[in-house]
Amino acid sequence: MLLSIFGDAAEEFSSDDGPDTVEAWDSVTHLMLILAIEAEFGMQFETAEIPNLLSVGDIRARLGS
Amino acid sequence: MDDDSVSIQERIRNAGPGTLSAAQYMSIARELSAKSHGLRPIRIVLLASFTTSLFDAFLKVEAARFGFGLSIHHGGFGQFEQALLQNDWVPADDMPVALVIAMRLEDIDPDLAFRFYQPGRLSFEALAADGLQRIETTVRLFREKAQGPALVANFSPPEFRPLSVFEANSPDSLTSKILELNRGLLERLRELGDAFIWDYAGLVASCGARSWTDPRLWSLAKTAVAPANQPEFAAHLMRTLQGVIFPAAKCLVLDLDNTLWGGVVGDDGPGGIVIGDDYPGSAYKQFQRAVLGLKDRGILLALCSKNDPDVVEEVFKQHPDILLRSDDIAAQRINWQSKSDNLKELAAELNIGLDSLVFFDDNPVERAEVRSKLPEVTVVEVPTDPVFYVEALYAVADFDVPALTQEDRGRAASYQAERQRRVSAEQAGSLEDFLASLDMRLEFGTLDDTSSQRIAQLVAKTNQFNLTTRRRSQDEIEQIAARDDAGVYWLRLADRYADMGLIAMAIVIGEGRDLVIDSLVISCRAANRGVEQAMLAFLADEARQRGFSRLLGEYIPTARNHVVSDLYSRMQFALDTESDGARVYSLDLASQEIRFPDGVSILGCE
Repeated sequence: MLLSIFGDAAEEFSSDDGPDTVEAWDSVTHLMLILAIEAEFGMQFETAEIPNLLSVGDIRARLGS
Repeated sequence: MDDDSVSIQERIRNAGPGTLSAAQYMSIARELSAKSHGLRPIRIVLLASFTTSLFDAFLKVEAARFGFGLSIHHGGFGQFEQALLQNDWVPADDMPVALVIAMRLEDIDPDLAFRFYQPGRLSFEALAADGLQRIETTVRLFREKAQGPALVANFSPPEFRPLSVFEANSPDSLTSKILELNRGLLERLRELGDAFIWDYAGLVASCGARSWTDPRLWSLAKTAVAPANQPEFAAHLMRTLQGVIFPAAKCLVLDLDNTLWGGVVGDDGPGGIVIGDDYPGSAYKQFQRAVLGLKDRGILLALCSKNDPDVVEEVFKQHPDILLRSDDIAAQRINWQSKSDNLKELAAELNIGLDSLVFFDDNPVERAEVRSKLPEVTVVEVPTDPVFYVEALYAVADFDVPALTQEDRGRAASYQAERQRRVSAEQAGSLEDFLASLDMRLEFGTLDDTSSQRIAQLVAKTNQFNLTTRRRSQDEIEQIAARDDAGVYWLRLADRYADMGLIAMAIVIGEGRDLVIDSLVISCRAANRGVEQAMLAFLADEARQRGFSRLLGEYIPTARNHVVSDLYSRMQFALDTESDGARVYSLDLASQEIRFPDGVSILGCE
């Protein structure tokens, strides 16, 4: 999922990476990522949590719960 | 050409819109951005009352489906006129550009739906007039810096309607006022020229208004289209753009067995085929209705089937449930040749290019044969279940035309008349005798409101009898027509068999003592009828009357216009210059004359 949006650079992402560390991870790509995850996993995030899933680790933890 | 371009476009085409996941769209879009893939570059300037940046991947992939290498300039949330005042959107070099405007009334006035009946609020009419004015101003600002079509979204009723389930019971409801406003928008765009409605309201209706917008996405990002609808949004916009830019296909070529009816007529006999009002015959009958609907709006129908012609004729003559009749068919090949050979013959007989054919055949082997031998032909991926044939036919973008003309509606009748003419020609003997027997009437005129659209259509679509193939827009042509030193002329043709309508046009521009024929275009239906001679005779007279001393003609070769390469030399023009195959000819008006063809009556202009 990260690869499709951020390209090969995403191979190197660690769980701390997010909008603060990845230049291409802006508000638009953030939403693209969230929406692509929703489509892939057939689920919906709540409006309020979307802006707060701000790192690879956050997203992974949310999907694992 | 690199092989990747074929594979990426193929990959997109093999997956219908909506079958790719969001992640797949993103990764294909990344590949598309990496290089040109042999796609035809075009830019859209996308101005909307909502945020559009989330649509990029979908737009780029859906554009590539039609062969476009798309670049997108976003105007920014809610910016229309302002976005065009800067110059950052104007493409460098000659990249074509199109303007897209998507304005939602509820974005301009958030109270529109919720407080429609608020006492003393700004009237809907005032809001609507303001919206239309902004659209017009935006298109005009675009035209100041660029040439290109404008696509303007029509207005869709908001999801939440003031009167809820009783909205349709009130004659002056918001919904009915929006319908009225959309008619006003169409008129405004027609006046602007080269500006078209993008049927956003139709798109929302067909996808479902209820789930069109995702309130989460609207709240977080002011994006008006829910994620699930974004691929459809992109596909619909790109299909509209291709319909405005590419000439439409002209002919639908149909197989017979298991396409127009169920079963194999050679095995089952004319009485044994499956067609009628009950399933499964009803599916084929419904498909025939849809096929005839295409014919009614100017698409030619042809048959191409491996069958015994006598048996097929019996079916068309006698079967009570067959809706298509021999009269509906412009040409046919019922034989045992390969389909690709037959398609080549059909194109030649109808005097159209292979790229004007759409092939519909239930047999995947035949489809593969045509695809591999004739890549120019559009081959429909026919579903295995015949109840989905109609859907597959309507999914063919090649037949889309932005506006139907009188000529479109009369085309089928005109081709029928052509078949009768051919019979007369065989009886008449010489070409001159034949032409004389047709009782041809030519009428000349200058560009006006009623002819402008058809003239633009001829310029956009004609490939063969087109001397310079300058694809000028309707807007440009109208501007040229308004100049004192130029002129735009049309020619209508009628004969004993049919009124063929407006079938030729010319643009002339004065340059000092010379009148230059900038464009000369003749519909292929009117070819070899002396029309080209009459047009040049007329232009020579015009030039002489306007005091020019020479008439200049240009020929610019393309892959398709070889047939007119010697037109000017046949008409006694002298070759002046030649470079890269492009030739300029001249006719000295004082010493030379072009006669109108014999036996033709001429109605002049003015």
